[in-house]
Amino acid sequence: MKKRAVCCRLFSFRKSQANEVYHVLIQAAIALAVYLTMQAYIDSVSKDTLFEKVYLSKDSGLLMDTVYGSPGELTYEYKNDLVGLNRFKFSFKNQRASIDEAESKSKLTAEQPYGEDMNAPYSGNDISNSDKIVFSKTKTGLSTGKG
Amino acid sequence: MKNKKSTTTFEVIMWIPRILFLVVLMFAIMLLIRSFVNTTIDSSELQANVFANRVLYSTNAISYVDPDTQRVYPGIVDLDKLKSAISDKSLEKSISYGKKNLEIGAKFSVNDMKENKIDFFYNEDFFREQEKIAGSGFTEGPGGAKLYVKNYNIIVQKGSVLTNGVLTMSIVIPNS
Repeated sequence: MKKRAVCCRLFSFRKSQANEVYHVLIQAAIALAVYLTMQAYIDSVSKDTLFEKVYLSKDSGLLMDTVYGSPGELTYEYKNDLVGLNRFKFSFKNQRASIDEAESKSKLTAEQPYGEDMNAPYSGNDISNSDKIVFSKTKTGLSTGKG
Repeated sequence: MKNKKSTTTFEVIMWIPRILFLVVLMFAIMLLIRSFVNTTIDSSELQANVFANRVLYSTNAISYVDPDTQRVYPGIVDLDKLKSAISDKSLEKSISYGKKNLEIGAKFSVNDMKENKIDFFYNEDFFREQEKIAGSGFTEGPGGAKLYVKNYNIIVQKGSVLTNGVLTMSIVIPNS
């Protein structure tokens, strides 16, 4: 009988005590929400590929310039072990090298302009899911393709 | 009873500044994290070097090309080719950044040591505009521009006569 009384008293707060418990619960909920928000933000920063996209766009855009600047016909195989090329989609249109993620189209696309030689115009399709890109320059044009 | 109720109300009101402070703190931490994440790469000097090499090495620029073998002689500037490049703006065609080029501008000076100096431009209006910005010292941040000046010892070909000369390239590249 005595035991039962203790058990019931454990969950039978007075109104002032109940308010204090609610306050503690609200504080715990806010702390949890803040933790989850910050964790989600840090996860998004760590998974962000913007730097890789900027780096690849500059690398491939300047490579296009270099290939165009070559004093003859040229075939160059572009590989990059630092960044997984197959994770990205490469597009060379309107004198711009554009890089986007291959799987999910993100809001931010990195772009780098390059100078196209109108005497040897560029022709090629978008490249994705490939570990290397082949740049081929001839007298009549420049093309890109998967290796 | 009234006293207890007012205490509870006061505590609830006190939550408002606490939550506001928490939100400000969260944004401050987010900004702090973002400030350590670098996504910008300054490749303007490399871009200027590639452009300069392209003008020197490309078949469709200003260097002499052997008509029989189609070989390019990068250190030899063909004056006839240069004059036609100036008159029909063929350099803009062989290095095209689209209809409105807001990426690069350049000035070239060919001096053949006999006081014959030829000046010509690539994307002239843009060069003059950006040169003023770069010259005023506004070289950092969005809206600024950088100027790179390069000198090359060349051979100037006029008909069948070859003379020593200097090619000076002034290249401006905007920051964004």
